[in-house]
Amino acid sequence: MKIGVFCSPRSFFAGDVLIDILSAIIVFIIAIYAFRLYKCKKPYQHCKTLAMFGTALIALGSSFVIRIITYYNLVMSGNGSAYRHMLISISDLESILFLCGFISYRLLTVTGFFIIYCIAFRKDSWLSKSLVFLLLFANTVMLKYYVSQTFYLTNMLLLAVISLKYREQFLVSKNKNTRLVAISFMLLSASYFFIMISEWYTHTYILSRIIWLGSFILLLWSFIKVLKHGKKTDKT
Amino acid sequence: MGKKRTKLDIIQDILLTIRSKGGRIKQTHLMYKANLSHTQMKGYLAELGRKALLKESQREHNTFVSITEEGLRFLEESRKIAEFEEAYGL
Repeated sequence: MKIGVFCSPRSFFAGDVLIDILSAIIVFIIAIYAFRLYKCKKPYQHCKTLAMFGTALIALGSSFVIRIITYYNLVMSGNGSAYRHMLISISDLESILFLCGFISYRLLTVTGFFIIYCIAFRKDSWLSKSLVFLLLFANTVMLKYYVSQTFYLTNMLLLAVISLKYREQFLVSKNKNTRLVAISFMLLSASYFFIMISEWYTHTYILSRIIWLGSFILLLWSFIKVLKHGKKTDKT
Repeated sequence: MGKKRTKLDIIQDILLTIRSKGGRIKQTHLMYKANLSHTQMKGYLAELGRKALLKESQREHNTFVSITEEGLRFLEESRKIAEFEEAYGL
């Protein structure tokens, strides 16, 4: 069995790792806060969505960490400046470990985004959610070289749909933080678009990673504003 | 017709009412201001008393309810919960 992987150049790997670590830290901070609020609210009211949101962010954060660990050897074995599309044969123990990490990274990413999708579209039927899940799952476990792009494509579409839903919520609530969250998901979606086309234009990879970082910084900014606004409204 | 208040909404209303009256209020006033029936109010006061968010005291044949430090903290937390949930569409 062979799996297709796109690999960033070694010269950019430090940047890649830094972006993933920062993204993971941001989502872990928000997740911990969501669980703290869940614990505070639970004795008084049912609040499944807070726990779901925290779980989604933990899944995403874990996927970023696993990605760094999984890709380390692969990137370090290449030359300094080349982007590489690789077909990796799953034959020895090392490649099996890589496969486990690779699938875990993909499954956790998709799980995280899917939970956020379920929160955003919680009024939709279970049938439509199941169909989305099946589509995501199918694209996650397709590991061959060209099929790999469908993973990015489905993530891009899912994030675009989530972003549109947040925009819709912003138009109703006029909450500026919701707008920031919507922009953040739209940037994440754009980031997947640039990763997808990096197959043909390899340098869009760095652009996609910068957009990715920007989206998480926006998410952090929205979180800081939530904290500040929460304090302000309480004083009034 | 307005949306039915959740348990948390009612608790917030009780705590906000007491806080807006300087931290202490007569039981009967609380009942009217927080839009509660007598039975409902007794239930909530017992629960919030157990959780140390409120305390009851007797003064000149009247029962007063006052908010504790824990109650004020809870009020602040519930504001943050509402803000967080609204921002992230939860």
